[in-house]
Amino acid sequence: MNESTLDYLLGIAETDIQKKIIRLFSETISSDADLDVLLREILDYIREVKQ
Amino acid sequence: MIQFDYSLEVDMGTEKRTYNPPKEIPKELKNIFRIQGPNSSGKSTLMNIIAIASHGLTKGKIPPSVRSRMEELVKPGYKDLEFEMTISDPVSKRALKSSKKKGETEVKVRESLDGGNSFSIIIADNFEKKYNLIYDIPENPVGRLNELTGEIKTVQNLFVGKTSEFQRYVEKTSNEIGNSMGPEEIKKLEDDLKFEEEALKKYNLEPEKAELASLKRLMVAYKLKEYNDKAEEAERIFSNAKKEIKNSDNSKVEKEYSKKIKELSTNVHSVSSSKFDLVTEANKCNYPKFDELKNAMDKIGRDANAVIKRGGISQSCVDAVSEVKNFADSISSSSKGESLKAMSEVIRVLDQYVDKNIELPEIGLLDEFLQNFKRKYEEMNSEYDIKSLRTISQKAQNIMHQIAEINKLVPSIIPPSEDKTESFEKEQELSWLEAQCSRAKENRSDYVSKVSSEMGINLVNLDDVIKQCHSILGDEYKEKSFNEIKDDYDIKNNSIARFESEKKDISFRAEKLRDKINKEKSKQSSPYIGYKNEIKELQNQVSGLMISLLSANRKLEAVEKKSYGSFQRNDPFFKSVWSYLGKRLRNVRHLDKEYDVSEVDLIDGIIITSDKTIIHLSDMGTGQSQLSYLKGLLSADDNRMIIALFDEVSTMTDSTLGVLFQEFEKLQKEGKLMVGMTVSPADKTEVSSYGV
Repeated sequence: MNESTLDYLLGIAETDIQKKIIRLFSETISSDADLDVLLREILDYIREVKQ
Repeated sequence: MIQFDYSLEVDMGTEKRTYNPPKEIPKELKNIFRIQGPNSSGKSTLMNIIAIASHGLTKGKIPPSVRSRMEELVKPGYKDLEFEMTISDPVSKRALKSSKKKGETEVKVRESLDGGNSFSIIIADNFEKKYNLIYDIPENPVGRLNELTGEIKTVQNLFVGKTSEFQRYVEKTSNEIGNSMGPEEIKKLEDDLKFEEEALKKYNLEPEKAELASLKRLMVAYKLKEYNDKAEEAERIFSNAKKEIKNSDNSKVEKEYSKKIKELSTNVHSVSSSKFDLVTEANKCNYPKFDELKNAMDKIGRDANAVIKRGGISQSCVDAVSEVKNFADSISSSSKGESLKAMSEVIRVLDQYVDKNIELPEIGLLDEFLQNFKRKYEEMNSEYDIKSLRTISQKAQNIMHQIAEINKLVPSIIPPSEDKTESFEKEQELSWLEAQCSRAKENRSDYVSKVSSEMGINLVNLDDVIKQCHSILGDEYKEKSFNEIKDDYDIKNNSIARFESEKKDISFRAEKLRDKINKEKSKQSSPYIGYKNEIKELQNQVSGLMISLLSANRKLEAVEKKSYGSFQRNDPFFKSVWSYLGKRLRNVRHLDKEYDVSEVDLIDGIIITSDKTIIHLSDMGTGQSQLSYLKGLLSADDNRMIIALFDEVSTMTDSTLGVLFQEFEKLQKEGKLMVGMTVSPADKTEVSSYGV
């Protein structure tokens, strides 16, 4: 995914957590993502930002 | 370096023409080049072949009208193309080698990553992942800037799908660990389960069930004994009654009477059979009192009862038989009769010597003599048949003897007592007793076959079974009746049923507890059990993102329609779209100056530059607009190598085109450009090359 498209999508996200989700999706855009790995990463991120 | 050669055969109906690369266009070209030339000079054909050689028939950003022109070159029809083309990039050292044979539709595309030393087939899907083929005729360039938003719409829809899938996954995980219990609550459940399991142990109903089975067995044995007693009693009563009737006086008289009647009947039948022979033989002998004899014989009849009624056979019958006997005997004993006897004897003796040609003295030939002698005998015998006379005598003698027997028997036949009522009642009683006896036996055998045998109880082991049950259940059962045992059985059975029901309830509760504990424990083993709060937060966030993405889709539709519609013009979304387009264009040339683009506002139709200058798209020259649009196409900043083919760039001046070729050269130096080619009309064919 090109940078300008990613910037655009990040503009749609309203929170840092949503931006994190968009970033993780963009890294796996052309393949089937392991949802379990994505979930663990985002949950760790949420725990980190909430502390 | 681009090396190529082709042959295009066109069937015009009346003739076939073959086109090859025009001599003005070299068969070896640099990767960035511009061709100017008159119409039908072969410049667009070369551009089409480069696109076909780059999987352009199925992939790449190509307008449908352009793609259909490409298809005409390869599909079976009036055109038949054969080509070979090698494109080598001097910077990245990648190379593509493509070919197509005449009469075939397949285009083979191979790729080399080592500067053209070795090639391997690259299929269209993989090609698209590595190469960005852009083939365009930039008509109405300002209007087509809108098309650039189509790219983000595609990606955006992809994200909607991914977010939706992720949302479901988060939901599922949340449900799995949701409402999970803490360790103390689980411990309480385990204590409850222990309590129920202990309670279950108290419900050992096996001894009770064994006692119930013995009671049942004893009941069946008692019932069978009852049936057996009844059957034996009925049989005894019937047997005694039978004996009693058999031994009574009346019975003896009846028996004697019956015997004599039977004897009389035999004798009467015998006389009746013999009388026919007697009458027949008498007729043969011309017995003079034949009619009297026949009438007397007919009177005897065949019915023994009739004979009894008449008090025997009448004397007239006896006389008639006696008379015919006397007749036969008298003739037999007369001289004529004796002669016939003697003659008959002589014939019997001489018959033994016939056909032996014997000659007797005084007599002559024996055969001749015997023949005459027999004739004489026949003549004499024709009046009285000597054989019949003998038969009559014997038959008459027999009949007379039998009549004497009958007449002697008849007076001794005394009918039994006339008191039939008493006899009938006794018969009735006996048959009732017999029926009772067989019913009792039937009941007993039914009970054995349908009930007791299933429990292994029969008439042979009945007493043993009862003893066995008594020893299990206790001596007090020896005194109990069937009904008392049945009462005990019912009480015990109800008690067991109640206990079973209680046990089932406890088992059910224990099973539910076990399930609950297992489920809770499996929740505890989930890797996300410690993330309950974070998952809840994530659910909200994903839900919000989904709403934003769907809203963005609707807003993009407003951009396509060039109207804010119900949306606010200061909605940050629109600014992000304008910034996106600004990044795609990067810079524009307007009038005599070049500007860095910050935003492209498609709804207001303006470009906002980094120094806040506002350029209206409608004020931009066509060539500049074309350039802006083409630069937008080239600015896709993914890592794919670009193959850029721009046809009919006629409205761009040399200086404007120069900016485009500078962009090509820049991309080539970055290793991002495989081919950069433009085509525009001119009176004379000319090829200009750029870059490395």
